[in-house]
Amino acid sequence: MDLKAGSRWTSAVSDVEVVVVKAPESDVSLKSGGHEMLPLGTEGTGGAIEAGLDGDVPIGKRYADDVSGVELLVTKGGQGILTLNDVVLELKSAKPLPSSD
Amino acid sequence: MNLALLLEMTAGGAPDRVAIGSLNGGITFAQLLEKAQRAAAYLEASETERVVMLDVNSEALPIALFAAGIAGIPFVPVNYRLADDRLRQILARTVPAVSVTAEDSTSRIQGIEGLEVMTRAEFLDKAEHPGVPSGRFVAPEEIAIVLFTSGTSGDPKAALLRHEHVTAYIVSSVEFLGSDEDEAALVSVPPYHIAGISAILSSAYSGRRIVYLPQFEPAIWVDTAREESITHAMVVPTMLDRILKELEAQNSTLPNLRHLSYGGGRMPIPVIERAMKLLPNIGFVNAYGLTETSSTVVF
Repeated sequence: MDLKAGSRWTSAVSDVEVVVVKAPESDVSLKSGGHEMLPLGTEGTGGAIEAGLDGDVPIGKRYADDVSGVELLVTKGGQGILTLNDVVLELKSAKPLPSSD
Repeated sequence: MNLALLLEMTAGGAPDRVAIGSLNGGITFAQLLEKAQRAAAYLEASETERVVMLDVNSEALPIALFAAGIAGIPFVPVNYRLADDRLRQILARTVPAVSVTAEDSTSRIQGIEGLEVMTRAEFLDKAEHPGVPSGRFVAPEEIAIVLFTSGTSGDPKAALLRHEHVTAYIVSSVEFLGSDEDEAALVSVPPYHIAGISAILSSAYSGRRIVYLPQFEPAIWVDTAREESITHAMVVPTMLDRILKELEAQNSTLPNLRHLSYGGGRMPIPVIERAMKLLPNIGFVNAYGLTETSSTVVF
């Protein structure tokens, strides 16, 4: 999958959408609910979320993987845990600063 | 990612929250996105390469900023206080461009080759006219915003902010829809200052309403803060001094205001001490940063 920075992807099996904030340094397979994600605008496959991967993926959360360097932002929430090369992606915690604007 | 995606997310997550203006009659996030998309369709059709803004604060500012982002062309707010010759020199560097222009400034910038001069009303009309942008991919390294420095030592220099810079700043420091529904920011810094731009982006992403003052005037600032139940504001030190004088003259306070940030110059200690005495329940934040760093880097 060509997860270039700025590219947008949709879950094949749910409403989840993500944007790539940082591209991975190696070729990876990004899945939601156990199915490879599709370029935004592609019709979903209508398949079922795999057992154990039916958790909530909330809008506005960031997910990252230190090994490949990938970072994603969820732009539309839904079901279907995000995995990279079949490893569950870690939630990246925000570092809220004292807002000045 | 494209800076317009910040707005798109909020329009999806909280479509009916008011984004710009009064709680009654303001523009919601869904409406703001629709206007920006329509204006973007117009910009794409016009094949212009930049959007200039030569105007005071109004709803046209966020519409034009996000429209430029969607269309993938730089947004260039310029200082309307510049003398005509300086202004024309800067604008000549932006062509081919469309200038969204204050009604009373259009005559100052006629006859610049490649510059299409449009009034704010004409631009807002484009944002009403149904149209769908192409949705072309805008690469993160493309230029989103051009801000001219004051040019104290020579010709003004253009600071280039790319989509990846401004979105990294927002998503790493602002929580998505992190604002309570009753939060509202009063913005009186001018559009050509980085603080005015980052106020739009951070408010859009956090779901906070913006109320604009076209230009700073202390009595209007205080009245608006009270009438619009303003909770957040950003000022420069001279503005704060004048706001305090106004409050002292009215013998009143600002019960809804929770958070006041200041920057853009050194804060005199007597002013901030007076502010802390007069407004004891407000959190004050001193912000410092460079235009080139997409706003605040030090608190």
